[in-house]
Amino acid sequence: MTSTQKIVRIALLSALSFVLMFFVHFPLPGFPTYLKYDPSEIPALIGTFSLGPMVGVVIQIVKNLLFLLSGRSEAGLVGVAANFTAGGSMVLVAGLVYQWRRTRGGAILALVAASLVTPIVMALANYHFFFPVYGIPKEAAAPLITSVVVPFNLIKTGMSSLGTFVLYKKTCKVLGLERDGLPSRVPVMERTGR
Amino acid sequence: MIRNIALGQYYPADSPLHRMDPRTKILIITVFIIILFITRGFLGYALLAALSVSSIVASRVPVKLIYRSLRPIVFILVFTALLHLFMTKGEVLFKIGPLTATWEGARQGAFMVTRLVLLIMTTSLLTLTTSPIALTDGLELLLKPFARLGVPAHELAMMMTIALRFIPTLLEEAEKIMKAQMARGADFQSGNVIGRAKSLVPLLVPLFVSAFRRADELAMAMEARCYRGGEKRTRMKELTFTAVDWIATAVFAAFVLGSLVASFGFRG
Repeated sequence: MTSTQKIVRIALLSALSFVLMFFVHFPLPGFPTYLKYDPSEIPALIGTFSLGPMVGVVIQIVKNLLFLLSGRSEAGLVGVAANFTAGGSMVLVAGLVYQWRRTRGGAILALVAASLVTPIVMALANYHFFFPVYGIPKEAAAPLITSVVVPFNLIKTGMSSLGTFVLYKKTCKVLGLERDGLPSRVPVMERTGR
Repeated sequence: MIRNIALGQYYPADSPLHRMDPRTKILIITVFIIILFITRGFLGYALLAALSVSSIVASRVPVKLIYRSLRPIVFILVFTALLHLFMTKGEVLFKIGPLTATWEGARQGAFMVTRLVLLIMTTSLLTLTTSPIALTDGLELLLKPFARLGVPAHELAMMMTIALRFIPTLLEEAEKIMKAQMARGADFQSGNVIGRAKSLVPLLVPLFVSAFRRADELAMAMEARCYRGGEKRTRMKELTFTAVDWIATAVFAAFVLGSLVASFGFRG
């Protein structure tokens, strides 16, 4: 695979990630409405699995920069930073584990590890950084983190992981990506009629 | 679904802020955010607020649009203000049941709210007066000096440009796939969270496949045209600093210095 091909694939996965973040977000029942689930981690995870852990991180960077530039982020800069912290740690952990064990079991292990590490990272990041930025004192932040932030992130990462597991397999099959994640050859392209 | 959406919230107008180089704007906003977090006291915040408000007036962007960017954080603003009002110890202002509001709390809360409002207002002013593509260009040039340290400045900008170009395409494709599935009896609207998530699978698989295909097609087209990265690449629009940029920087520096002096005095 050439570097141009890699750049363009990352670009397209980021675009897809952005589209999913933008249009398919919904609040989860039982959580405040400003905490929304969006499946935008799925393209990044698929990128991480097929192209390596750093690719996932780059997808997260591009997605969040796009979101920032589009000016549609509800919580502005802080929201984007929080999203990057969550998404970045998720794809990094998943990517590293999967790189170490490139099997079906490895993929499951990678997704479970990523789903568990991310809420912890988010709890720490929120406690030390994001809540102070919003001016919420630490003594008030702690109960909020244990009762809202951690469960929300667990559900979010769990849903994204499940989605990735279902989608990665199916996408690979269609694209002829090999077991090691890299495409055996450039897939034969037929022009999709307009 | 939504077609022909304007991706950014760019508001075209002819104003000094629109004419500024995106690099200047990005740098100014970055410094502004840092200053926002180190300023102390009434005068310091007042100067920064005056700077933001005068920039908004100079930008000719309707106030309604700025207000719209603040609406989503109203909840957080109120929450923060109340927390500070009631949880800061000090001279009693008034009491409601078990809660005691203090002067210090009111002061603290007001500063926190001002800081957040200014933070959101100025960043949305940036995206309102600069198109996403101009911002990407500015970002690339600002990151270029760091390319030696391994920051992929050109690649990052290229990816963002490609992504920006393909977002509407992917949306259109998603809509097409959705309609095709709906014609076969798929239901995307009703059901609980799990049901709705499940219904997304037959939408996402083709979307991923087509994204990968489009990517490889584009990569081939780029290579056929001898694309080989950022080095010695020429651009159609060269960014240049003009008088507006220098004036804006001078005004900004004056306000920031004033705010710093007001916060920390001349003690040095």
